Amino acid sequence: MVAMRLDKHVCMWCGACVGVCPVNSIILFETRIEFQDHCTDCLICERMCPVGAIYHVDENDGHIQLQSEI
Amino acid sequence: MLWAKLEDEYDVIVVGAGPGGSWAAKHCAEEGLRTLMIEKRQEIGSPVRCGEGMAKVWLDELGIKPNKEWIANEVQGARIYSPNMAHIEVNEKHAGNECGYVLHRSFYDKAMAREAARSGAQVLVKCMATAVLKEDDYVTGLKIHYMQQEKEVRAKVVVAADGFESQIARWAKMPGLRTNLKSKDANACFQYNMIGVDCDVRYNDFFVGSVAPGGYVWVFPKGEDQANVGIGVNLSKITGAAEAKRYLDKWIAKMPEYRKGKIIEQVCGGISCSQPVKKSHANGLILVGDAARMIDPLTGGGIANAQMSGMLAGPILKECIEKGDVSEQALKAYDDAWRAEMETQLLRNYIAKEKVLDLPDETFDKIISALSEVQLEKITTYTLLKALETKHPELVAELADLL
Repeated sequence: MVAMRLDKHVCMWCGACVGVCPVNSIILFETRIEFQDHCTDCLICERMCPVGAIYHVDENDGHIQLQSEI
Repeated sequence: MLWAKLEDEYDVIVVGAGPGGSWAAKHCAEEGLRTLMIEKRQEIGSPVRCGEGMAKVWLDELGIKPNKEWIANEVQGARIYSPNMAHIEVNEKHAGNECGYVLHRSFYDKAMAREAARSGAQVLVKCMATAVLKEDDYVTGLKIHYMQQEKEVRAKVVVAADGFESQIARWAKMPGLRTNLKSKDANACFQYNMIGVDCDVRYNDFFVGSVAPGGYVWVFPKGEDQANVGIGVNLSKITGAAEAKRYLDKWIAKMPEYRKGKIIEQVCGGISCSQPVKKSHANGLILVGDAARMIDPLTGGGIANAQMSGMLAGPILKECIEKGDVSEQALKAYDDAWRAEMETQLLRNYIAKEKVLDLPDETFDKIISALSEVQLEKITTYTLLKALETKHPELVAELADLL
């Protein structure tokens, strides 16, 4: 089990994560992203975010982000 | 009191005041339909989520008069660079009106919304749709949130012009309406607006290959020393965080003419590079523009298609509402109308995008080098493949189904 988190200092409110969420579990309220309960932990939003504002936490609340080779 | 003027029921509610939404609202209002357009942002057109390149094709048909207010630069052509920096030039002579403008999107969107308002549509900003109302398998309106108030507003037809997020269609859960995207059908985009760069105002430049896997880097000049320098990367090629930005930063670091630029704006966003939706209509609901995945999957351009679909919706909704039939069967006329205008091109470019997605750098080099050596009178898929045939018949065989 993981939970999605947002670094609001990085987020540019573009909605890219919203558009690719396969279960439509993310909502963008103008400048505020909210993850809803029916998230399936697929991490597509984390890969899609152009600026890396999305990360996730594991059951121990450890802060994790998909590493990039670029 | 703005809220007091809000009716309990409209003929049409348009969700989203981008170019597609504004053009739908304008043409519905012009038909005499009682039209409300809502926009969740407090300012229409901002923040920008766009590379701002736009072809001139269809401006006349759409009834849009070019205006200095929203044109930053008019280019005479495009240059496409391979990984080894060979390039081909596509200009108006080759491609008709496919070349065009670099826009100030924040002004463009406001100009379009002004026209919708002047045509009689009511416009409400900072107003978010929070739920889709349904009755007897019909979409019958929206729950909307405006400042401190939440209100249910009925509409005979809801027009979802909510862009890449395409949430209205998914909330509505109507049969056959699917706007979900596969990874290979979405691009993550990031852009800087830079000052003090050496750009050529005559051209929009595109850089393809592994610099931007499954997409491209663009340089769209907005002035002598100012350009949008951006990137789109295919989501299926992204494995880590912030890769759209990382790829762009890596590319800029290698380019002396852009490396020295100063960043005055950052833009990001997502675009689809999919086929258009299989169905853009349901009982009491239609989708326009990006929400219906009408973005050209090869070029990433979506403004003209969005406005065309919005414009076509006007008279069709008028007829359906007048007859009292806003069923899926009646609204299919809208689906048919936009497909007649753009579906062939979108499907062809989808096949092309699928080809390009996994093309190695060497193949890009071969194709662009070979094409740079011939003078083409007119650039079409056919003439491009013909030109390739002499030098690289093996590539033509591979690309043949594009014909």
